[in-house]
Amino acid sequence: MRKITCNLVTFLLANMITIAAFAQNVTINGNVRNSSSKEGSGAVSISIKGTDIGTFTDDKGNFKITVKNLPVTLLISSVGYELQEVIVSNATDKVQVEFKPTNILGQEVVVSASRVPQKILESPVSIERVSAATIRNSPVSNYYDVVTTLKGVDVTTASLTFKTPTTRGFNSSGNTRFNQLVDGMDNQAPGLNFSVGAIIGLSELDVDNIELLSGASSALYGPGGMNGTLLMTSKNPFKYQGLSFLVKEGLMHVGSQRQREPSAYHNWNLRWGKKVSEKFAFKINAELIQAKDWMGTDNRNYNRLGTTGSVKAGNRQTDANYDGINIYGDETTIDMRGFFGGIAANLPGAANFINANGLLSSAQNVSRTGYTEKELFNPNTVNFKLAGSVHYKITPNTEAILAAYWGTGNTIYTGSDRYSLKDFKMGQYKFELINKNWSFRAYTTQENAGESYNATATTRLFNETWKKSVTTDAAGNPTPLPTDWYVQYTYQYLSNRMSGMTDYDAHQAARSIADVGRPAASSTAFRTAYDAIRKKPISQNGGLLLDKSDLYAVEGNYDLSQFTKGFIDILIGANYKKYVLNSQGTLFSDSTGTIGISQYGGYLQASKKIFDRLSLTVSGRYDKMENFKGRFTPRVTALVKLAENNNVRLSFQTAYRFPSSQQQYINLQVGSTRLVGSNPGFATWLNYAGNPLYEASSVIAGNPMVFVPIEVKPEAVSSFEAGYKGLLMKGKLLFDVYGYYGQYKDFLGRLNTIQTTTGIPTDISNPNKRRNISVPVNTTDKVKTYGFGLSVDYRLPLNFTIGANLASDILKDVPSNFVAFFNAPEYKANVSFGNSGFGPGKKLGFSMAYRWQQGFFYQGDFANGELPAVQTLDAQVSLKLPKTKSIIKLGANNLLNQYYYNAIGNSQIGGLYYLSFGFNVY
Amino acid sequence: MKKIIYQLRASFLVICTGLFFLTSCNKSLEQLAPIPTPVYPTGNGVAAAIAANPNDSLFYRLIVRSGLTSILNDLTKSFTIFAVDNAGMRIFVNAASGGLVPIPAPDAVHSNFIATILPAASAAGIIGYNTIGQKFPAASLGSSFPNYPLTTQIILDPTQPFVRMNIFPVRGTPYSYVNNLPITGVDQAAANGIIHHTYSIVAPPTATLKTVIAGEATLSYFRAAVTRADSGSVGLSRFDSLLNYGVTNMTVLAPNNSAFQTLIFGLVFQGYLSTRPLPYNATDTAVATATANGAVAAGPAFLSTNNVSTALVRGIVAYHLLASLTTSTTSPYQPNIRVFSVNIPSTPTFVKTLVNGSFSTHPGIRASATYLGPFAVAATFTGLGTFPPGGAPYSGAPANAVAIDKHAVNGVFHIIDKVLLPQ
Repeated sequence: MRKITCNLVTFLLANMITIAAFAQNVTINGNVRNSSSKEGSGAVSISIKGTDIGTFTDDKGNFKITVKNLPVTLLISSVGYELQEVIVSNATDKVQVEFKPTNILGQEVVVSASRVPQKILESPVSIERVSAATIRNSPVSNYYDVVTTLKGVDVTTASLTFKTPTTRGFNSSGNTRFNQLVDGMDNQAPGLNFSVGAIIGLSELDVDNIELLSGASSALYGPGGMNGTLLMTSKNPFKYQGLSFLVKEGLMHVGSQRQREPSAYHNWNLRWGKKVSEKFAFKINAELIQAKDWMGTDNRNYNRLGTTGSVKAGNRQTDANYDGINIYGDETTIDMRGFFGGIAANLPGAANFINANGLLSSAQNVSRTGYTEKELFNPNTVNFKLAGSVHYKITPNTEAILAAYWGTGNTIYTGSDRYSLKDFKMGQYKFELINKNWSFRAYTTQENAGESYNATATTRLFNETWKKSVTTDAAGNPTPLPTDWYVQYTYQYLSNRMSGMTDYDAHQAARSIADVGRPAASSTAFRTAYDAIRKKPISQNGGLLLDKSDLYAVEGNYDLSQFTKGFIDILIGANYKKYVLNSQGTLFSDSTGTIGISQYGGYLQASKKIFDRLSLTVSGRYDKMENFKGRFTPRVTALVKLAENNNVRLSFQTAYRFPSSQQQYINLQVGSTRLVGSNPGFATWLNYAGNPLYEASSVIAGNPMVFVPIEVKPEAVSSFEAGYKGLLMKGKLLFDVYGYYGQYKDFLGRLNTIQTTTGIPTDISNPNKRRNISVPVNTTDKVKTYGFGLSVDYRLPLNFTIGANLASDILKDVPSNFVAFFNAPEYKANVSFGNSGFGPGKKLGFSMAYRWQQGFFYQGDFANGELPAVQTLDAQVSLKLPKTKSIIKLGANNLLNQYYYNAIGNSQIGGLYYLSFGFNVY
Repeated sequence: MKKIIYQLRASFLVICTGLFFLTSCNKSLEQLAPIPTPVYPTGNGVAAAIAANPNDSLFYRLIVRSGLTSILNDLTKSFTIFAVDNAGMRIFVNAASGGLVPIPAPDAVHSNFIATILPAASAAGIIGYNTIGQKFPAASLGSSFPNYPLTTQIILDPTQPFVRMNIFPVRGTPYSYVNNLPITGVDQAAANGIIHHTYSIVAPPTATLKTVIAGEATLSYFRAAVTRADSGSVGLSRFDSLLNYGVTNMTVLAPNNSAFQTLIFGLVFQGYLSTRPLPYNATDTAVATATANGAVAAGPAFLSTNNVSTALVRGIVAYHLLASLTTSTTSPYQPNIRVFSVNIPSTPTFVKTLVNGSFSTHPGIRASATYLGPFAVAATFTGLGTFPPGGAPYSGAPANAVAIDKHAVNGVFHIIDKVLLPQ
């Protein structure tokens, strides 16, 4: 091992040292400005033709570059502008460059498609790119929302700041099949398993670009990217310099459907990037979002049956067993027949009354009275991000980076229950070496769930604290007391019926008696008791998640093309990850200590250009996680050049996903069901061998079937894709279309099972002597998906642009009784129209973005149900103030304030209206 | 250029307008058809329906006196009420007034008694006792032995408000009853309930069996027997506790004093002779008679002496408490039936007793009643054992009921003239 390390260090040093040292002695000063607006253009690339020497303009458009001698030819380039060449033969005069915006689309360069820079038009797989300029002219209030306008993207909005995008289906809050990388680091919270790009990722002013790879992408980015990978890249302080700030002040919760009084939205951004010298630069940036969050207000009645629940008729008045989706505490339910039976056995008159009214012939379920989400959750959502990095150029081609990204916030997340992520914190810290031929990165993700708590569990426990449902002895046997809620309810209900009341009235009156003294959510008594429970760990009968899981990762890659140039381009890479799960028994089965999970992998990619018309790329990746067998994932792509800027792409991609840390080690009681992991330790703990599990559906059907858990395997997908991307109409029309077909196997899901609490098989039919256990399983069937996407972007005269995209995702061959959580509308479309500069001095700008998605049946661990079609319109108008390098923007998300949900049980989203002032935003 | 700008403006307007209309129609989440809330009837409540019947005017007066008119007319509730026509009410008023209001007196007199003299609490108790909180058409009343207890509006335990005083209707052929009174009319409909008519007022009991039995001068031996039987027992396993526990539902066949005296005489007489050699001579018989007379003269206290065993007395008392088989696995036979005289068939019928708690196969006692019209005018009960012992089962002389349907909160008792022997 030591020898390998020595060789690696020697190898890296050799690469650094072999780079020629500078010997400059002539300095050229210059300025680049927009030919139309006369604004200084920042972050414009200035390079010396024929060399590796280059720099960037600062925020005022100024640059300074030193060369050995004159004359030289400066190459001045930036996306959206025409490439210019300027011959400099005299260093005494300042070079002034008039930079002309170009009308040609599709000039962006992407990196993620093949891990090497290439024109987006030449990407061999479907890719979307969002630039800083796109964000600048976008109407969204949070840059992360721009992703939702991309072709084929679905998003699940759990709350104002918790949004989860994906492509090609299988979306949910905290989607584990879609990777999010921030500056190369996996942004997934190691314990909670959701990516937190919107919360802990980059701040808006520091976003250089976002690249979206749709579909399977494990071959290059490792396990997890079954449905896509989102790569967010921050601005390098060598390129983006200066002080910038952006202040958005807005208004939410307006209109007739509002969840509360209109409230303010604050979003403040600050960035300072400084190139201290040609070798050293740093940046620091921060973002603060504060608002009253959107809330889940879906109070429809829900039939909670694990993952196969459904909305049902009734409300708190008409259904004694009412369980509102966004109402918590009402999940506790008891069949009153237990009480009625006891009463009937002892009181003949009551027995006749009970029997005459059929009170023993069918379930008489009654739920506790719950509290609405709005009553329970602190609406103040705060999201604070702080990040900084120092960059040192060891050589002109080798840059060392030390970076820290830290964020904290309050937000709301939907998993198997609704969670209030309170004071959630996550930090990512990395050391990185970047050379034009290789890179090395070591980073860690440190997660701290803070005071995050499970709203359902906490509220149910609060109810128990306030008034016990049914007192039990130490062994858990019921020993009802007159002070118990259900005792009071049942007694009063029966008495009410005996007094002549209807069933409806008897329930209302019984509840009012049982609820006497129930604290209002706004009372001090409630808050004190509730806070005490939510701050107590789940393992101690509280609602607190004590997750402090970490991830440690090392990875590197090397481009061997310098050795194989002319024949084939080869890229190799490897990585190692170590998860350290630490929930102190509140989420995982780690009450006795942390759980470590190691994973390593490596990949190789070979590319070959044939006859100038065909580019072939073959990739392969092998990964191994310690609890599972190793996996190999190949990828083959071909790019056929039909004409200049017109390419057909073909690909076969594979991806897979190891069961998440939760799927391996979760041990969490959710409602009446305990979620357990796939780790064999659970089989021992719960004695599957001696006390078998039965398929819940078979038990309910009256024909109990033993279920023998088998080893869970990683799920995998194979995807074929064909696409075309091309520039037409002299570069004014960019057309992109793709179609794909994917096949999932060993699909990971959950199966509801039932186990007796006594170990006696015949007790499986006794509801009082059994428990529900949800176990991870692989489906043996192959689930297929297919779909297409197409987009058209057209540049109109006078800098107007119009774009539209349409995508479709379809799931088929889903086995019956299998919950796939596909969660993608069959069709979705976006239309945009805008202009980043028009009018006098091209100071005016505007954009409009319309999104439509077809309704679909949403499936989630928390709730299922039909989601109606959603349409939203975002819009903004802006005014640039070139003299002060400022921009004023008036914008709206969901302009028409049409409240909508995009997942059952999630927050209901309304309009957000803001006015922003940005300084030095580029 | 102008043309281009014009076209752009037009396009802009078209797009804006289109988008505006497109986004103005996000639908709400799917709402399932609501569960219907009750639709309450309209019309006369049971009180109003009774008021509308001139022949029920005295009973309506009783309702008014009880203060329960508005409750009985509450159309959100359902009731079954056992009402009484004016003829029956006159019988009731006559009895309630201690005969001061003659039966033939004008209705105004009866009405005045109800409205001014009868305590309102008594009226409320009567109405509450005769009201069931659900519609029970006559056809739905149970017909099993002995009757079909239903909960009334009298709550016995406010902490458990479903623990209520029961009333005991039973559907039969040709007569149906409520407690021991015949039902004279059925199924008069009201908007919120059903009105049945009974022969006269079915009065609610006011005291427990223990209290009522304590007031019976002819049952002093029975009380002594209960005391002896409870010797060494605690809690509800004591007969005395059962008799005093308001929520039990018992039938007691209480032998009167002469019955016990006969038993004691026989026991002592037989006991003495058993110490003498056969054949008995006249002296043996005379001494036996004198000894037995002495035992009888000792009064009820004899039952507390060692001349009789606790087990014997306990068995005898248990045999006089009727029981039925329940679903309990620990005490299958419980004293939970209330057998009024009219519930006893005219043909001899076996009824289980508390003895079955120890000997589940014991056939019980054999009971029969004699009817005159709808009324039971006599009842007899025969025990398995004979005295002197050795006779064929149920071959002894039956016990006759000398007083029937003595009603208490927790049961009914009939005074009989012989002690029944379980073996």
